[in-house]
Amino acid sequence: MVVNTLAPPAGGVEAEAATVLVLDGDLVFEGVEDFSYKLNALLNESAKHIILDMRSTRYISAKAIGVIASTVRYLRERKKDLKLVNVSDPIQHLFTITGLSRIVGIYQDEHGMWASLGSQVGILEKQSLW
Amino acid sequence: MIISDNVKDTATKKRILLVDDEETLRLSVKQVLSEDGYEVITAKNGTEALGLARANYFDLVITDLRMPGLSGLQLVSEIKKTDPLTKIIIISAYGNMETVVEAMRLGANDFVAKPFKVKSMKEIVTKILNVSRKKPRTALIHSSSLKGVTANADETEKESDSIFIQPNLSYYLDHPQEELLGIIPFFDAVCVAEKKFAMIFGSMPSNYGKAGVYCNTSLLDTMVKTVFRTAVTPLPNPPRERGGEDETNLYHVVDKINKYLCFNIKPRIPISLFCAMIDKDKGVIKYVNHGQKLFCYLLQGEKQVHRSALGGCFLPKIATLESSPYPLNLFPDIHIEEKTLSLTGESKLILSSSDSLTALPIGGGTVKADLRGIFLEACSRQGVEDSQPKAGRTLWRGKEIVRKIRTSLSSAISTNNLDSDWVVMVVDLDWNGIEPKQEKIIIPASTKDFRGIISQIEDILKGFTLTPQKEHGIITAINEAVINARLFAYHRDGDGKTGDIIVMFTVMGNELIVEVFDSGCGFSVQSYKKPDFTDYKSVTGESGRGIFLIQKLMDRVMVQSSENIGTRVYMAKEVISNGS
Repeated sequence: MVVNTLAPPAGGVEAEAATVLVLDGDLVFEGVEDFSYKLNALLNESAKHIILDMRSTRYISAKAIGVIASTVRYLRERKKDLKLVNVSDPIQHLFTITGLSRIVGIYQDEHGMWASLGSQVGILEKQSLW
Repeated sequence: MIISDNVKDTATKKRILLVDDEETLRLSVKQVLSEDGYEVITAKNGTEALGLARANYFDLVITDLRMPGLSGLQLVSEIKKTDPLTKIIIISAYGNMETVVEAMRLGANDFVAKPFKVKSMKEIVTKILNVSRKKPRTALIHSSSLKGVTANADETEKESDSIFIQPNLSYYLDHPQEELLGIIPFFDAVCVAEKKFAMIFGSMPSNYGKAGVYCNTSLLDTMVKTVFRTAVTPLPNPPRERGGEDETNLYHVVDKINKYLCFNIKPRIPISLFCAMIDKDKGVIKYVNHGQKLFCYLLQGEKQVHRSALGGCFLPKIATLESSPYPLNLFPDIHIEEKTLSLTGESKLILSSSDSLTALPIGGGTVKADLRGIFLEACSRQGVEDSQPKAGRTLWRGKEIVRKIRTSLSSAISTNNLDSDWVVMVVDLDWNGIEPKQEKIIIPASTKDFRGIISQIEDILKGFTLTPQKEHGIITAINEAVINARLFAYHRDGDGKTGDIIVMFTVMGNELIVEVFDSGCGFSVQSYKKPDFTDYKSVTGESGRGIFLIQKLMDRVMVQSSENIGTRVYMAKEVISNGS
């Protein structure tokens, strides 16, 4: 597991951490278990936001979508949030038909995602799964 | 009042009442018909069904004949009293012919013999519910045994320009007008084995007998089909015959039809019938052809050299299928002769039935003789046909023949009155062209190479022109079915045994069908609760998410499971093949 601490975005005021989890493959078969395990570990950390970078994810299973939805619900109850970035069009379509896109912030690239975080985030921590 | 699952569409959906005491049958048929847009209400016995039928309007009732309590026959009778316009399809067990015919007399519109394929039921439902109510046709058929049959109850549908594709059989049927004045054609086919099917094509006069005496001609049509189907449908456990081969003797099939008609229809309406058994493995067609109204030819794919002063050219071989001039339904013990011809690569049957054409001369010869020439000429344009897409060649061929007949008749005869009483049918026997293309992926239960599996699926899908989103959706749906097979369908009670997961790809027309099946423990359909959610967020952490996703991504989905046998997920998506 590689953890990268990124420079805070310009204009950051409060130093509330966001962890970027870079998914390095599909979330279909064995990948879902690792994904769920890693997300659970992050839930207990102090990061206010968890950002899933899906640039390398081509396929995702219904179970993995369920894991994301569960995590979102857990984080929201604790005044935290989860966002998705670099989501391909086909996966975006799956999120639309499952309704996930209505409850989760999904961004085509980092710029949009960072802009949505605004000044809340001072430190970004990047982790690579797999 | 019945509250449907999808109330908002109730006003536009056709309503079907499905009655059977077998829950598995009710579930599977309901699911498939619901996917086709019908509103399906089920009842487990005749009494419950009758209550529903009396309190609600249904376009169609599908009922088993043998049920505890109120029988299917009683139900048919009571429903017809409640609403004579309600269409009825009956489900009958093999060999229950007398009861089927009795149900027809009571007003049932069609029947399906058990065991049946759900696809067959869909086709019959579509046919029954799409029949026009606007143009009822009567026929002058009298039968003392047909008392009580409502006049004008017969209805017909326009089949011109129609092509129907079933496994191993595609055909084109055309007649020039919605209403044939002199003849009523009929057709039926039964898949007897994997590469073997039986078919009948025939006609009966629509204006035979004494004026003022009417009969439901669809009953006669159905009686012929009933006897035909029960005679050729393989027994669930066929007796071992010599050499273990179960041959269906066409003589017995046609003899059975003839005897049944003779004993049940009075007076004698002459029925012309062509009955054939087509065997791909043996490359033969066995046939029986009776009656003067049918002109039957076999176009053989082999071409023969026609020598002329200008050299040789290729012409198709066309064989006239010999016929006996004696129609059925006249005498019960007529001599019926079975003939056999060999089939070649791209054989086609060309079947024609005509009333008025038979008697009139064309160009010094008879129409019958001339029709062969017309067919031959229409079929000689092989090069043109070869340029047609393979899936559309039957349609092209049929249209070409019909066009040729029209041209020939209009040039030979001044009056155009002939243009109303003939029907032409082209049956494609080219299995190479219509046999489903299949590919199979075998996934060992112990595999860890999931990326390799997805790569294999992607390779197969390269044979189609798909948008990235559509391809992604198909792969995602397959992934879900495989996950289901791995996680749930494989755990037998305690023995830990697992088998392979089979992913079968089949192309049928413009549809890609994917089946994912295993030999796992399966589950009881009685304990299976179909997810009824419409939004994913409401089922986070619950079961049923996979099938939800599959249903959203594919056009048609069906899950079939049997305890200790396994689970099969069937999925279909409309695709365009790119030929690779």
